[in-house]
Amino acid sequence: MFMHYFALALVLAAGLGYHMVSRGVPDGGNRFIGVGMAYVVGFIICIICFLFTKQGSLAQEWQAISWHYFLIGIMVPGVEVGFIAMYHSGWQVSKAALTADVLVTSLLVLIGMLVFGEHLSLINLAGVLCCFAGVILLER
Amino acid sequence: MHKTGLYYGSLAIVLAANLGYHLVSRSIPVGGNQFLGIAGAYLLASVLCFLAGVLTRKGPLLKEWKETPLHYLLFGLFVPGLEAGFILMYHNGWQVSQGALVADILTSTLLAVVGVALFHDRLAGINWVGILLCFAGVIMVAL
Repeated sequence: MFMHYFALALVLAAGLGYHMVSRGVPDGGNRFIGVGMAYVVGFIICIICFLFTKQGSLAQEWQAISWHYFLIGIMVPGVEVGFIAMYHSGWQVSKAALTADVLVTSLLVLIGMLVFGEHLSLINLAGVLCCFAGVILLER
Repeated sequence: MHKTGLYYGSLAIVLAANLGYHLVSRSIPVGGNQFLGIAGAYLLASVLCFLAGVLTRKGPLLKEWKETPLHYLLFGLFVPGLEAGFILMYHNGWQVSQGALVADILTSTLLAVVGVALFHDRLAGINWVGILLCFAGVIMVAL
């Protein structure tokens, strides 16, 4: 149960820092090169974390890695570049993340139920609708 | 501010990439070292970004490199937390239909407050009602 909420807290802390940095990036230079530099820093941090948590040799650990991670490597630049482009095209930090996230997660709710067979109660579904209504009011 | 095609186009990019991102994160098997996997993802992501940078450059590469703000390096400090956190969430019982919604709405409502307090964003009364509705919705989703 600790990890259940620790993982959420980790996402919240990193997400807050992430959006505050996004909002503060000046609109100069090449956006892709900038995000590429960020991933090099992220790569170095992950390798350091790996060195502290590894349980076998690099080759053994590498072979145990799922190919799904490489799909993430294809998706994440779109999220980063997209958010920075949103802020540079006039979105406010108070609205951009909420609008994008509620739209994404509403679709994920549908996909979770239809593709992954996840179960949502009536009150959960009412909560999704409540979030949707909130975003509409936030965008007015 | 006039809402250009990029205003909604950039939102569409975030939606498509984010959707794919969560579906893949949800499908990652529990085995293997998570940090090594994310490091591999970032290596691929940085190569893709540098390729896109070369294709979209408007001047000499060295000049564009020097003009790119160092703020981007700060991103690198936060993104591993996001990736590792979401994968950990999915490996610790969160459903894809609930995990992303709870984390993202909580982050976004906190950001709305931060935006007003630090970046002088302006929110009308009805916007605040919207934030409260989102917050209530998250609680109902997490029940």
